[in-house]
Amino acid sequence: MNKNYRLKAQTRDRFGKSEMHRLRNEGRVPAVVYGPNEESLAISLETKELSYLLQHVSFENTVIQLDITGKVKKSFQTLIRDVQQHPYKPQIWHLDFYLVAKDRPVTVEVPIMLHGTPAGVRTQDGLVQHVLRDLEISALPANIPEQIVVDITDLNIHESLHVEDLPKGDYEVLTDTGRTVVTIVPPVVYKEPEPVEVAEGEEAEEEVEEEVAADAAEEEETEPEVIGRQKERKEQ
Amino acid sequence: MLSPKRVKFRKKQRGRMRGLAYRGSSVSFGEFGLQALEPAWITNRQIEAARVALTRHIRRGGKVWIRIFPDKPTTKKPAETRMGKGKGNPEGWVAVVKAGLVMFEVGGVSRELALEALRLASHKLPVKCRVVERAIISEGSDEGA
Repeated sequence: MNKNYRLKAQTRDRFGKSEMHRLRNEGRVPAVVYGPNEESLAISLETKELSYLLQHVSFENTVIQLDITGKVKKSFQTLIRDVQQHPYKPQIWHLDFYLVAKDRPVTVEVPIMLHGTPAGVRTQDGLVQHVLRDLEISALPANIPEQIVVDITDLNIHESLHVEDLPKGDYEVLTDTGRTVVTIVPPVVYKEPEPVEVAEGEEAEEEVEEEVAADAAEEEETEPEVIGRQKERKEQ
Repeated sequence: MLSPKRVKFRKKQRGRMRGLAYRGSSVSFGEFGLQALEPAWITNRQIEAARVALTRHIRRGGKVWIRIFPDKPTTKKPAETRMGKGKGNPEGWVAVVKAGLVMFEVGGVSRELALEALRLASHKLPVKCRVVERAIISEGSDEGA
């Protein structure tokens, strides 16, 4: 089960692009809270506190208690539904919080973690292919697991685990039960191209000429077919 | 080398590379990725050179994903030609990369090997890059190690 995570937030009465730029420069992140039977509420959070939390938890399936102060003083149990951030800078632009109720199941994605080194890797140098990394489940907020851990130590080469083989819990699995989670494949070995022996005299020149001709031919061949050109020719 | 098999038009306009890559900016297939930090045209030769650098360093095991494809034809006018008389001839293929795009991904290898392989690959590309990791990697997992 998840630990208790808390975030402090303040209601926000500033809106619009330029105001949001100012808010971010002040070290706060704009956010919104919404959910069934509740009007959406604009809030802002402290960037430092938020960044720390997002770095340390899998936020998609973690229930966070949001303590709101300001015009509205309330405390909500929420899930983070969306994070807008810079593609490569550590900047969070906006967050969506979704209200959850204790008695209403929610749909979340839980990360699947692999545990152990498979037999196929230990003995035959196989390769682990982690195909499905998240499992979609429907569960009550109290029953949402932090992660689903799968033991893969017994897997040999060409063997795989499916969704139906995952450990069961107090939740309903929504992902197709036939989907592959992890598979062990034979190793792929990269072979260095063999060095070409240097020939002498006229033979060497001939070989070089042949290579140049082959390269030129290859380049000509790589000119792609233009769609519609053949039709035009046939019509003519 | 990578190039399209069929195209609708032989030549394309150059276009602009404004903005950031909001899609494809996270590691989706492997565990480590190479992210562009500035926009550029990446030629199919550069992609191939980076791929060779990656696979040569990894050697055994592991998997490499190339998440860019050179689908834009570039043209060039012959040397010592006066301006005008139309657009030049198609000379090569490039992928348009915006800042933030994850171009290559590696999986199934140890962290040290992946980081070094991606560092070597980054030297084959005409952009500033950084190596990124998947957001959550299990602490107890020693997958593919």
